[in-house]
Order: sequence, then structure tokens, then C-alpha cells
Amino acid sequence: MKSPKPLLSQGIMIILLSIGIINHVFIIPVLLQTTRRDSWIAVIISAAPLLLMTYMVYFIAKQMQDKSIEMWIKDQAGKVTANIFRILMSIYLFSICFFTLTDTTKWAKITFLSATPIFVTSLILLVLCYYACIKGFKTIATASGILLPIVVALGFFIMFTNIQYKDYSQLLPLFENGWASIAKGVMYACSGSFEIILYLMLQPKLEKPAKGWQLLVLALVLIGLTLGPLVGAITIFNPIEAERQRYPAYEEWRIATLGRYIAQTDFFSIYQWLSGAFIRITLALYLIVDIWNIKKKKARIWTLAALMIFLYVINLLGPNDILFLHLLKDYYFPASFVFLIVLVIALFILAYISSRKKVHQDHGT
Amino acid sequence: MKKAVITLMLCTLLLTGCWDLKSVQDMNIVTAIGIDYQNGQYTVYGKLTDFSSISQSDTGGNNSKNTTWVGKGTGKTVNLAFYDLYPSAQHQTLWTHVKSIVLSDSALKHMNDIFEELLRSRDLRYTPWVYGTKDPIEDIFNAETTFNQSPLMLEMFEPREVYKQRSGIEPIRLQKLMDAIREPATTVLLPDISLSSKHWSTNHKKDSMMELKGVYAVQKGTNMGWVPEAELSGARLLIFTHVNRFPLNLEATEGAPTTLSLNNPTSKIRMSQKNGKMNFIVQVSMHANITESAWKKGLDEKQMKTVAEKKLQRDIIENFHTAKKQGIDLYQFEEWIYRHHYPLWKQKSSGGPLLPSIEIDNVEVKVKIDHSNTYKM
Repeated sequence: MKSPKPLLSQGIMIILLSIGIINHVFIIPVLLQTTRRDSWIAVIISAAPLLLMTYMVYFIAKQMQDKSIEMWIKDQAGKVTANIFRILMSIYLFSICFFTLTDTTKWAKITFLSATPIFVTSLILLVLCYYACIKGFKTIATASGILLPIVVALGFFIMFTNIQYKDYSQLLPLFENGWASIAKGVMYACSGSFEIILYLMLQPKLEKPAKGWQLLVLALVLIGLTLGPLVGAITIFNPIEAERQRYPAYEEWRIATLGRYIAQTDFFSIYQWLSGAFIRITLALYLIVDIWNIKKKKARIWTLAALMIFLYVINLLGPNDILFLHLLKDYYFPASFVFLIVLVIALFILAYISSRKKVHQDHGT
Repeated sequence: MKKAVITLMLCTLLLTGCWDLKSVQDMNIVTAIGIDYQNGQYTVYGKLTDFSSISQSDTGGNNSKNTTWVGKGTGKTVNLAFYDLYPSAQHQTLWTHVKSIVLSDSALKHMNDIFEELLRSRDLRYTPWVYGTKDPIEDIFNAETTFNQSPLMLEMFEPREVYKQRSGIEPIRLQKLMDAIREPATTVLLPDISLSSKHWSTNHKKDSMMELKGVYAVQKGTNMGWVPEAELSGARLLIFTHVNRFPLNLEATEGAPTTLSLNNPTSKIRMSQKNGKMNFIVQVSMHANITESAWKKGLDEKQMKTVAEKKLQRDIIENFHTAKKQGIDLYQFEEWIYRHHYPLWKQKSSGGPLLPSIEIDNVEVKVKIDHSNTYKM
């Protein structure tokens, strides 16, 4: 018999794909715009808050054991608190879906599918996500296991082919724009990496929980995921040019050439981007339905369908790309940064109290 | 099973191909863009390539002459100039395979505007080779190639082949040129491509061929001046990223010619400040091999080394001063100050250009002679 639950490694792959795309792609233009040349320093500094965050997540995860997060909150702090958590988390997860879908479809429209309408591209992507959602968590985990290795291999491929263009002196001078801009950069870098908190929602579904060091390594890999294409953009283009670009990570693919006969390789980036976007949207949608404990198959299908249609419509009627980027930079990233911090602190306090209680009980018996 | 079959069949519906598919012969494929600026008007040239002639000549055996088409459009902006070209184009014009961009020297003053427009379009990449020129762009686009080779084998499209054989002027891609347009202190040497009919002929008829003759020094998006190849000896050692081989002739006694072939120079610079002047100390070392030496009557190895080092040291200093008079920061000293002494750069650059207070203090050159090729010394 196969094990009924996906492996821990598959859970890690889901996290890598779904946080990978935000750290690798969505955050970089915003980071370059606010912190410019120093943005790579900001990302390195952001490792400190992230490691603290990871420790807190690990502490909470240990207290939760194999309970699902909403049940654990209900046990610790009552039904009302659990419901508030559910509502806030649903809004947050839905915004993940919206921003991922919009950025992905707009990118396709602007760069390589200019003649194909967004209502077609977003429909195809959403139907795929819908199908995976209905199939359940195990399918998402397996799909990640198939998609991620190729995404990683392509990542290394682009890193090595672009060495011919890189000029590392472009990373200097340091601190050109002062500490205030670096602080902003740290905030943006964290708003992506802090999604490591999603691990708490995956843990009960995995075969066994992650060890502390495994989560720490995961956190460092997430930092590396931002640093790679960011340093690439700065050293290949120069920070001022990279700041002008709407899709710096994609521009790195557009410049890659292999000798005289293979002049263009950017189609690989479409695979990478769509893999990340597919897993990210699917996971977020799946988790929305999951935290409300909708177990009946019919109810799940219809809830998901309703969410999909809503998503599809607001994507079509939504903001243009200029407004979208503005929303991303000034509202979405700062808001998700604050939300994730408040959330982890609240959960940490609950976990701390519960750990004290346990100690108490142990002494009592 | 049934479900799997249905799914598979549905998938094939997605594989019927791209919609709006166009085939190569239905498009004008532009391989080079030229931009000129005269009296407030931009003129854009597009060089079209017949892709059927590429496939034929790549496999060899094509003796018919290649045809070149050059389109021309004018307008108030670069973008409008492109649009001016479309009505008479007959087909859709495709800009995604541009492999080189040539700017006339009058257009070099407007590089900021030109690339802001070109790069905003999703068609153009950062990979095309870029050149400046004094010659009419139309002539350059109609230049010839030897043996009726593939039209994509021109110097303009594949400058690395010639550079490997004689590293005279380093070709650069748009990606590198953007550093000189965006960065505040960087100077980039933009090759000057021009026509020469001195060297080659077909059946006694002179051919005009493309050749890189000098460079434009570009800083902050404008042309600071032109430097001929003869005055790039120092720049070659200090700022070219790769030097495969370049000849250095040593003036020796009559009838005893001596030539070295230089390669792989590396350099280190330091700076000291005195009385508001920034004095640079330059250390260069490179490899060399002997390509020409008069047997028994010429210089010996040690003499060659000393003579070569002296000559290069003099070149580095002379080139720097000649360029400095024109306001060209030939060795990218200002960029070095900007990157390594940012507060100093900020303070100095607020009071006008830095170059006048930059001096070259000391130059140390080391030539390592590796071998004398297939003859003994």
C-alpha cells in the first residue's frame, strides 16, 4: 500500500514552487524600484527576520502536532478567534490567487502572447488549477514533484549561460541611497519569504513534520531564490536599467544565447513561470476550501467553482497593468507583510501559552 | 481507461498549433536597424534578409548574389519613423530578430530617447551588436561580403570572428552600451563601423566592406568624442574584457623586424590623492608570443621584453592624455572612483566634471613572453 499522505519532501516542493515565484519574479521589480543597487544588501539583511520567523513557525508547528491549524486555534482560543482567523486567511489566500493570476496573464499578454486575449489565457490556467484543486492535496504534491526539478534545472541553466554578461562591479557602490531605502527593501523581501508560514497549513497533511534544521534550510533557500535573479538583473543590466524593466527576471531569459545557432531560449521561462503560478494558485484555492472544512465532494466542487468564476471575472475587469503594479507595490506587499507578522506573533503567543499549560499538566499528574 | 482516452483526445485539441500562425516567407524579417537624426527628424533604416538564401548558403553551393533590401522611414520620434515604414512594407514587418543596430554620429546625441523607445517594445532584445558610424547607413547596409556567404555572416552580425583573429576594437552588445546610457560615471567604447574599399576586389572591381576603425566614447548617454584605433593601445590593455591577440611591432635596428602577439592582459589600479588631484597608479601584465624575429641579428628575448614594456607604458600614458584633452575618460577611472570611493565621487562630481583632476601617476607594465611559436628564438 502506498502511504496515504504526501511526503515531507513533496510538501517542501510545493512551498518552493509557490513562494519561489513570488520571490523570484513578482517581488524583484518592486525591490529594484525602491532600493535599486542596494536591493541585494536588503535581501541579505532580510535573512535575519526570516530566520526568527522560521523559528517561531517551528515552535508553533511543534505545539500543533498533527492537528489542523484552525482546529488547534479553536482548541486554544475558542470558536470566535478561529473564525476570525478563517476569514482573514481566506481573504489573504484569495488575494494570492488574484495577484498571481493577474500578473501571469498580463505578463503573457505584454510579452509573448500579445494577440491572444486574456480571457482565453486565464481560462485555460484556471481550468487547470480547478482540476488540480478537486483532485486534492496529493495531486498538488505530486505535480510539484514533477514540475519543480525541471524548474530548478532551468534556473541553473540560465544562471550559467548568462555568466558571459555579468559584471559584478555593478554591485558597487554600497549604500548609495541610504538606509531608509534599504529598510523598505527588507520589508519587500520579507513580504515574500514570510509566506513560509504556509508550512503550518501543510504540516498536518504531510507524512511527518519537518525538523527545525529542515525549515531553516528552506528559509535560506527562499533567500537564495530572491538573491539569484536580483543579483543577475543588477550585474547583467545595471541597476538603473533593471529598475526601468517591468519583468527583470524574464529579461534575463531574453538575453541568454547559446552560440550562433541558438539565439533565443526564453520559451523555457514560460514553463518556469507557469509551473510556479499553477501551484501557487492551486494551493491557495485548495487551502481556502480546506480551512472551512468543506468535506462533501459536491460542496467542494461548487465552492471552488464559485471562487474560480469570481477570480476569472475580477481578473478580466481588474486594474490595468500600471495600476496593478502600483497596487502590488503600495498595498499588497506592505499589507501582506504586516498580516504575516501579526499572524505569526499571535500564533506564537497561543503556542507559548499552550506549551506552558502542558508543562503545568505534566506537573499536575 | 475510457476517461484517460477522452482526456488524451481533448489534449490533442490543444496541440493543433498556435493561432495566428505565420510562416517565415510571409514576413519581412529585419536583421539590422539603422537610426539617423537630421534637422529634428529621425530616420530609421531596416535591413531585410532573405532567409531562403541563408539556408542555401549555410549548406554551401550557392553562387547567386544575395539581395539586400533596405527600408527607410522618417518621423519626429523613432517610433513614428518605424510607423512611416509600414504602409509600403507589403507584409508584416518583424523586429524580433534584429542582430545589430547602427547609429549615425548625429543620432549618438539622442541615445537616451532612442533606446527608451526601442527597448520599450517587446520585440527588441539586449543582444544586438551596436555601432556608431560617420558613413551613410544605407551604404553600410548595402555593403558586400566575400564569397557570397550567408548574409548573416557579415562583420556587422558576427564581429567576434574577426576580433578573435585581431583584437583591434572590441564589439559590444546593446546590454553593455546601456551601462554608458544609464550609469552616472561609466564610459563605454562604442565601435565605429565604416566602409573601406581599399582591401578587397571582385574581378578587378573594388568591393566596399565593413570595418571597425575607431570608437566613440559614450558617457551619460552622449558621445564624448571619437578615438581612432591607433590610440586604443592603452585601452586595449586596461578595459577590453577579452583580448585574443593583437600585434605589437617593436622598432629595432634596420632589417631586423620584431613583432609580438599580445593576449590576455590583466590590470590593477590604485589611487592616491594630493592637493585635490586624484593620481592613479596602473599595473598591467599580459602574455605574449613572438611572431616575427630576425634570426641571429635581432633583439634577444630579454631586450624584446624591455622594449615592449617601455613602448606600452608610453602608449598608455600618451593615449590617456590625448583622450583627456577631448574630455574622454578612456580608462574608466571615474567609474572606478564612483564604485570604490563613492563619497569622494559625490563630493567631486557636484562641482563639474571629474576628469580634469584625474592624473595618471605611474604605469607598470609586465610582458610575459610564453613562446616563440614553431621556430626557436
